[in-house]
Amino acid sequence: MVFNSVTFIIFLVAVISLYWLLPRTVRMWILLIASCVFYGFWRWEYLSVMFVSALTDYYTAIAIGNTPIENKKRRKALLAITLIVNLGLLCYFKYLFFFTDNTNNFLNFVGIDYQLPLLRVLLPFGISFYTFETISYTVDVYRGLIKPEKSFLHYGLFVTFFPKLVAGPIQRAAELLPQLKERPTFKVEYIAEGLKRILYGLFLKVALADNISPMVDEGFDLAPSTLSAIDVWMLAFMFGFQIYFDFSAYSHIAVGAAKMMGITIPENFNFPYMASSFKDFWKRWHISLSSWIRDYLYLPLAKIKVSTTTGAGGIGEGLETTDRSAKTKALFLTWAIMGLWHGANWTFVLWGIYHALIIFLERKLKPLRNVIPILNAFWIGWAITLPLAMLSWIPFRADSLADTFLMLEKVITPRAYTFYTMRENNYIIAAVTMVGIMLNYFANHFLEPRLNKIPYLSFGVNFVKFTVIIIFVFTFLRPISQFIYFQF
Amino acid sequence: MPSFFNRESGKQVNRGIFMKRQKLLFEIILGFGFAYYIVFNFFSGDRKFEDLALGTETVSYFAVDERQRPIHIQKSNQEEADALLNGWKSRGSKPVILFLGNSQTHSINQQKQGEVNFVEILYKYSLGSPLDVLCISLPNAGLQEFYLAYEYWKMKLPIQAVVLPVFMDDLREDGIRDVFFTDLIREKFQLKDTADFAAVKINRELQSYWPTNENSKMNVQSEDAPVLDETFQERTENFLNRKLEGRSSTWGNRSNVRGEFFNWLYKLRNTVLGIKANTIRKMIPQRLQLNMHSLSLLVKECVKENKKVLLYIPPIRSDAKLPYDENEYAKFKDSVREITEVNKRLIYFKNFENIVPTELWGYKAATNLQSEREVDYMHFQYKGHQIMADSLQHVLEKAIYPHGI
Repeated sequence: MVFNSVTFIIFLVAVISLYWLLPRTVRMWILLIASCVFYGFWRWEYLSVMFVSALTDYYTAIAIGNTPIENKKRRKALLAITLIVNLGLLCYFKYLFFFTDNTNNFLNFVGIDYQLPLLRVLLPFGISFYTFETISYTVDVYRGLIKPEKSFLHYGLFVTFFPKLVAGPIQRAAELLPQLKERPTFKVEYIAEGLKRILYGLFLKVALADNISPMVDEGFDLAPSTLSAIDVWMLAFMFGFQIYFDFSAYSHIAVGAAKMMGITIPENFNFPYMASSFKDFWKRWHISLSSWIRDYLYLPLAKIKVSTTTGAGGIGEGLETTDRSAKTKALFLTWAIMGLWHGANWTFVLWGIYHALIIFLERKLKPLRNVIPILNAFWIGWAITLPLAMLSWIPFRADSLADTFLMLEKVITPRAYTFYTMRENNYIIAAVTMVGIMLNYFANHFLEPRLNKIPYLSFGVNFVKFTVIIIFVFTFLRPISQFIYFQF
Repeated sequence: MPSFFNRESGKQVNRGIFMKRQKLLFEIILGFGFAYYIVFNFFSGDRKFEDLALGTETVSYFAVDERQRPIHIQKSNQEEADALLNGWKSRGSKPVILFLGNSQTHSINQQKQGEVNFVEILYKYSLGSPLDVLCISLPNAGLQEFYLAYEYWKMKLPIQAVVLPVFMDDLREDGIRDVFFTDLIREKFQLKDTADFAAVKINRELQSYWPTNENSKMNVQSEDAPVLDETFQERTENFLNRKLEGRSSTWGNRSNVRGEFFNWLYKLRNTVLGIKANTIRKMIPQRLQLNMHSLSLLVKECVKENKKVLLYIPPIRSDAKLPYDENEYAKFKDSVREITEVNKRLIYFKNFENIVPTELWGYKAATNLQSEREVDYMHFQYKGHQIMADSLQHVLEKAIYPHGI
């Protein structure tokens, strides 16, 4: 079910009402059934894929929990089962075409006259998210950070919980399972806070992301060779805005829907385009994924022991401690995999490596920043980070590596700055949106705390803000485009 | 520390916390209430975005008989394709001269009782001849859309000749608007010539609108929900939208409200940047190239099928400075003329830019928030339509059908 639809609004009202009206004992069942219905509205038959993943981890985690720590061989074998099943599902549904296509290209290249059959498989919504959640659960049990969950109702709900099911935030069992067992009592602020976040999310999606989308699509549909450098920058910024509004909208709605049931799920964004370095960016962008990658990929590859499990912090926390060459390899490998997680295309791998390279350079230039303190100023860091971060969206959105390189080449060609080829509105909208994001950041950090000290003024401002948001949501609400992260 | 407070101040603390906790909910509820008031008082009623863009002086006009019943010869929306086809059949299914055009073709400035547009005049001229006159006039259409419209209609009608105005303004347009082509999307229509990048782009855009379910009905609901193709949610969403539209005209009016909002943004932009109707608009190279490619594909297709084509530069008012770069405008006219060089026996070129006198033009709704109206470069009065009809008739008789139509 997509969030930006009338169906979801009615579904949510029904689920929240039943959740609070029915006795506590049946609430979890209601939520489990509602989560399956939510997923089934897209393709009910793909529920089976999700339950294969969930059941595998449910039983292997219990088996690991029942195996003494000294029996490392058996524990490792059980963990391997989890990894094989989950990564196998992910590979089959997400990477089969990519692998076979690349194998065929390789066979062609070495002159072997054999081609594997190319199979395109429909990617189940949310598979990248729920497989990561189930893997993290079993790994945490294996590491002894949490105990295996005995109740399949609670465990099943941890996997299927509908607000975060399709596009995260990627939830840790240690954070969600205790809340599911807690069964909170009704509080008005749950509804108010949840409603607020849902309105924010719908506004970002239907009023902003969906209206930027046609301009981005038009630009990336054009032959890259005909674009100017100004076009490439504009498209990088516009896609950066689109994906931010789109994905943060989903996260707002997910957080809001869960909050309405008294459940807190972690924040996924924190003004990423106000980051002053790439390390900072990854503490602010898709925080739940970057912290997952840190705990289950980067730190193990860098041979650093993981002693806690939390979805907070982002990958930047883990990078803080690394400087040796072995860890540099881990850095690049992690980011290449992170890129591939986003999509089965070399463009995503390039996107990952681009980020790794800049993080690597940031680390190497640290001594220089110590010598020239002004380089540590927020504004300087921000002015360098923002354009580089935006430029990284080019490989993320372009159709192929060839298109990516053509577009990036424009950026370093002085002659390509002398003209522009798209409608003037696009450049104006990109500039206005960037100013809007900056103003929002300052309003949030500096104006709002002061405003909150004057209750009547703050009440008036918020009332006007919600009126405007509601009118926009009413006018623009229609499922004309999927959330971008559904495809991942 | 509250535990050290006496009962009275403890109550005050609790009341304060209570007020703080409820404040957000009150803000949202009041927001809903005020939004409801605004939406139902300002967004309801019958609204047509196109008329709003034309301003008060110009109206869209479609042919009617003496009893005010529609004569189905001209449509500005593909949704009315069936009416156009039925009208053509009822008149004897004669071979067709197909006119393609934009709002200039169907709109009349300062219209008075009984005044009609040039398409109706030409239709009346054709009465009794072995040919019928039909027109597809899509507001703000680009040549990509004209090419697509031609390719589609040639499957439905025995087209003998095509008359096509080439507006410099329209070369800044891009893309295929689903709102005008719901039939094509439902029928999964595709252009055959996929060797050209313009055709590939048009096909790709059409595909993006295609429902995967053959039975799914392309209507307002599903246009609003293309991402849900064939899922249970698509059916639910369409059902809910139909119910909501049945109960509330405000809900059904949302697309017009969106149009008005963008129109307001457009005016705001023009106000801030000082853009007026006569401000020079530069060509957008990518769009120009795609549109000119589409035009040449259309022409080549007609030549291949031995159909005659009249391309003309449409009338534009000459008493005000043109909103085009002079060099670009001259180059544009030359490029259109060059396209007709492909085959002089079948393809004709006419420049009508100066045939409508100054006094027959009017004003349109302002394109900014400061002034009330601005000069209209596109729409002229009835007498202008009469001049247009006579000029076209002259060319049609002389060049396209020298033996009379």
